[in-house]
Amino acid sequence: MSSEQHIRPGRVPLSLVVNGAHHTFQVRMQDSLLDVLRREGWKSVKRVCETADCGACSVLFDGSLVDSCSTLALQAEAGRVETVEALAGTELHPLQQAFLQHAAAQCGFCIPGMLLSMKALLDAEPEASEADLREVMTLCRCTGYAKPLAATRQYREGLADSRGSR
Amino acid sequence: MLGATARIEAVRRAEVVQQWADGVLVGACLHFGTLQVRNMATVGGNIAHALPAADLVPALLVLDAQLELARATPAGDCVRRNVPLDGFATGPFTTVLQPGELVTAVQVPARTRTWRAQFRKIGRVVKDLAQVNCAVALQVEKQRVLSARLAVGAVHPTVTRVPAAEAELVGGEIRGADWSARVGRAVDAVRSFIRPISDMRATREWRRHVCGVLLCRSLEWVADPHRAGHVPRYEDGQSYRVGVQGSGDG
Amino acid sequence: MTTITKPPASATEHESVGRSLPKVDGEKLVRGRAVYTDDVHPDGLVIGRILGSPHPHARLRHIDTREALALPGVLCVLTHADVPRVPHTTAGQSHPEPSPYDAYLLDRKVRYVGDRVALVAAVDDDTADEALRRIRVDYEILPAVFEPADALAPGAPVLHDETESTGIADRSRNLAAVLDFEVGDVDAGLARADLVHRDVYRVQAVQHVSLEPHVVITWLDEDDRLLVRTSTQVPFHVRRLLARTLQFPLGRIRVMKPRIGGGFGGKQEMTLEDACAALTLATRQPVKIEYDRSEEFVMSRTRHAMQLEVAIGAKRDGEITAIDMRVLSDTGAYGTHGITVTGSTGSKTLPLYNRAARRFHCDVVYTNHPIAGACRGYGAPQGFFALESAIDELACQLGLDPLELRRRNMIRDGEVDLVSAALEAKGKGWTRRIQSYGLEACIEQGARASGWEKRDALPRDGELVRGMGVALAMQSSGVAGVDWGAAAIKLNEDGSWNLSMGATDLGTGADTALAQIAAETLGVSLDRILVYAADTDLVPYDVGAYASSITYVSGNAVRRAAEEARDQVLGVASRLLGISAERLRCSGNRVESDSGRSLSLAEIADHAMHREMTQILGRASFCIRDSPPPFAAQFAEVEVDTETGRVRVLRFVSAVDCGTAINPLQVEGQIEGAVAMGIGYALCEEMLYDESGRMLNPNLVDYKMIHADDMPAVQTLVVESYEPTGPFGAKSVAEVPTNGPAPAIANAIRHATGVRLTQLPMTPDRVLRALGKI
Repeated sequence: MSSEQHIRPGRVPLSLVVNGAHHTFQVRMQDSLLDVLRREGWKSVKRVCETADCGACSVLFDGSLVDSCSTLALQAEAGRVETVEALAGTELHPLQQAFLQHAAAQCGFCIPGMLLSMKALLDAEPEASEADLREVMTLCRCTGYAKPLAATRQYREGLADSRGSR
Repeated sequence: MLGATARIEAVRRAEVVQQWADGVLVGACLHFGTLQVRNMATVGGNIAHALPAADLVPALLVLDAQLELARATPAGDCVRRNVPLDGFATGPFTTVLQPGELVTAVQVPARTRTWRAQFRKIGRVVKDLAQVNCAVALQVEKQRVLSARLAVGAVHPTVTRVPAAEAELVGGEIRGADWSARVGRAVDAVRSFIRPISDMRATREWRRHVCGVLLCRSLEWVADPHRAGHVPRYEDGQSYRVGVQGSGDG
Repeated sequence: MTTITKPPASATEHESVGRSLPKVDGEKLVRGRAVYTDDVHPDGLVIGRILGSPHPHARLRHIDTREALALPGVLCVLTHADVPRVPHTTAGQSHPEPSPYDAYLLDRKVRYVGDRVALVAAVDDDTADEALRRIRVDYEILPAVFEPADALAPGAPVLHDETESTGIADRSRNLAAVLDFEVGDVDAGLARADLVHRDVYRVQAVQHVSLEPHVVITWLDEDDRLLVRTSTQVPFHVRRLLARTLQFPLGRIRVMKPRIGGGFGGKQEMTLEDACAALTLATRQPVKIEYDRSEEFVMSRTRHAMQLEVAIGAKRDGEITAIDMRVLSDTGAYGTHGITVTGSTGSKTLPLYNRAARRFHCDVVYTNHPIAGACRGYGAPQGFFALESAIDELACQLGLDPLELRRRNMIRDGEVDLVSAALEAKGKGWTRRIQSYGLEACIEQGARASGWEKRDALPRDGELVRGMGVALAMQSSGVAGVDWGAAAIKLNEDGSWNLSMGATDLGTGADTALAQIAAETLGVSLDRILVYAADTDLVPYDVGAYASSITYVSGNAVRRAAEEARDQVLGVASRLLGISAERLRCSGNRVESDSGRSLSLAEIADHAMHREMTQILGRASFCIRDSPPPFAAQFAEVEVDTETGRVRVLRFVSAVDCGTAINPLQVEGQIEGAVAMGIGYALCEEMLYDESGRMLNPNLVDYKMIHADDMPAVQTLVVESYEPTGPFGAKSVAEVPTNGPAPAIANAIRHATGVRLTQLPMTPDRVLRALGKI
């Protein structure tokens, strides 16, 4: 977007890198990061509770897992956002493959947040315990958490194998 | 010293914080909520918000934390003052902050960093606002209790220390029937002092009873040298070992 | 897995059915690419909002919309004066619906906090919110009533005094519906019992909390047809209800169900579609209404709160002589699903003890609470909490093993369900006989896995005490004579198939399971089936996803449609190969003969389409004549902290007989999700209200649900039987595992502490009071 682009009334510019690409959006002062991401086309980020209780709207912001519903868009200025769309290339990410294999996605509404939160946890702590997985796992109403946990354990074991540390 | 804008998750992971008083502050951070919230919420925010169930405050109170406050004058100067955390909150969501004043730092004095301490919390489910939370800290030398601090939250208009209970704990040995009797008297003093309310999360009778139970358990726990450095994950005995990042059940 | 009843000898090793194949929609789900209702907006989309009443009961004396209309960006404001007044039910049920016709698109009266007062369409959210604030309403506040017993009492305020409403049992007493049935002579049975245990059980209103809230987008296309894109379980019922409510021709309405983010019964309704469509018809613009989470809590639907009185009598030797169940059910402000849910509280549970005399009576009562509706289990979770607690207490008092007492009295293979027979005699439903039966195996395997025999050795001194409890359950598979579906399947030139059906996948895996049934029948691999569902213009009719019906009802339709298509394929192959069709079979994406000659489906399709000029197309409608029950035995091991009252479920074992498991991993997933929902129902979920009927906790901060760190270690045992009337032997699984957790946990608490809790949820406060600590 060129710098001479007309800024609509009631809007301010926001620069953001989303999934590796630079963007400038026009946002309202009160917009949450969730509002902006969905409006601009990243529909994988879901609106569920809007009180930071469920994690379905989780994104990675400057590498940190946050609830986009409770982050003001302007707080994210010049930051780096990653959504689940960034996880897979042409091939699925191993965590996604594990979820597929274990039938861990039912309605799928929690899945983007769940994948990002499990990946963020295991990126930071590849030896995260069962208790850690359960603590970070987002809210889900369909699965009872059993298969998402099984899929994540498999992914974690895969990480250990590739580290050769078992 | 903790900056007011330090994120809860950063505090949780900080090695130096894990060394303070059996990692009591880490315990409070662990119970703070989801990882997403911990990545955004700040120390200063939790203190200044003055929620009667604030999770960091009991742990900071028993460490005798001091607050650095600052405000800008119309002339553009910065005016600072220090106040103890104890008494900073004067009621639910109410503090001694003056208009335009911010919490800028939290100081944990060196002298309390070697004390034995523990934070506990109970909620309706694991991730919840506290129905009751509490912290205890004891200065112990040669098995004798030289100083005691005790703070309870979600049972009173503010997170509060209970001096009458602290007085019961000081002066004797931290073992045996005498210690159990002191703990019992301290718990009674707390139960008489606090003014819990009934709300969606719990009734006042439940809070009064369970507050005493959590304190009793915390005090028994810190009296046991084998349990130092273990932070309960749930109100049931499972614990973390503090100092090893992210590792699980003890 | 154990197969209890052998399938017919002619069944060979399955290629598709019975295998945990990856979901047909799985990849896009994990990529985050699945398209839900709110993910695609028509150009020029406008925002619709509903003004909800702040009062639980009031007449709308006057509504002044001028100030709202004067706000720039507001396109219209609708009140009851602007829309047709047509009594209807919002329940997604087959027509004629058994629910009262007591709802209006917009009414002159409001009956709960959140009830519709007016509708607004505006260019964006902020303008819509501001417009709502500017609507001036003159309310004549009426007294409100919140307890069913109070609502029935003389002098209580009457909620439905309007003359146009029909189907209400006794409006002057706020009695929406009533039902009675009896099997045998209960009074005689209680009289000859050695011991009669009586108790009153209270269960609370909870909510489905689908992660995706209710959301709908409506617009007019270039032919002025009304298009409705909505998160629904029942697209065809919605179409019919819209036609009635809007007085709009049914054939000019198209309802499309995209990907859904959960339903659980909450979307077995016309919840928002009529309001949104009314705004589109008034403005001629595309309109979206999406509930935020607090509206979702208050203004959609809940589970029925009930009070259940149970008397259960037995001989000392363990023969249960009689069970008497009386239910008072709070259906909230409108009667949707009221009688069918509450009737099911008796008709789905009492069959379990088939040789006792049984009697059931229920009163379904209006109160000024938010509307209760369909919710997973559909009355059975309430009934089983009471029944399985009562029988457990009886066992305790008789000194009998709770599992043995159940075994002795439970329904057996081949028996006629006498409750269904009693109901058929009253013209309500069809008699069923048990033709597939895995309950004994469920008990055996569940008991083994949970360590039931060693439960008395669980630690029980100190502040933390452990115990174990069991509950049995059954459900139905669709409603016999009522639930039906249709499917069509056509062959493409490359040998792939398009399966089009009205069945609705809510995330349950229905698309996959039904595609597997089709693939199995046609002898093709799953990736050759493209599923399309559900769009009322493009697919055949189906009642929709509820009553645990998709696999059994829609699956039967899909199977028959596929068989018809398969016969056409074999016909073409027969002509091509010169071999009679009886000697041919479909397998491995080919048609094979015993002579070794075979053809690929692509070759057959090419011949059919380009030589015979014919489209291979199979279609079938199927209405079920039976409703075979799935069975479950569920075991909970709990730890009770006797000083805080906190109950932790340590382990939970579910052994479930669903007939043939079409896709075992999906079946397990359904069971595990139902268990989590049941644990939340048992321990922490509750809709709380103040004295004015306003919900205190319409958000996830204060409405507590189970997260992963609250879940016990779960063990899921899929125990297969073979249902002769089901597609490849399948029954159903979606609801039955919701029934066991609450009673199993209550029974475990009883085992651990000696204390019986009869009210849900079993919060730490209630447990501590029951223990006498406060």
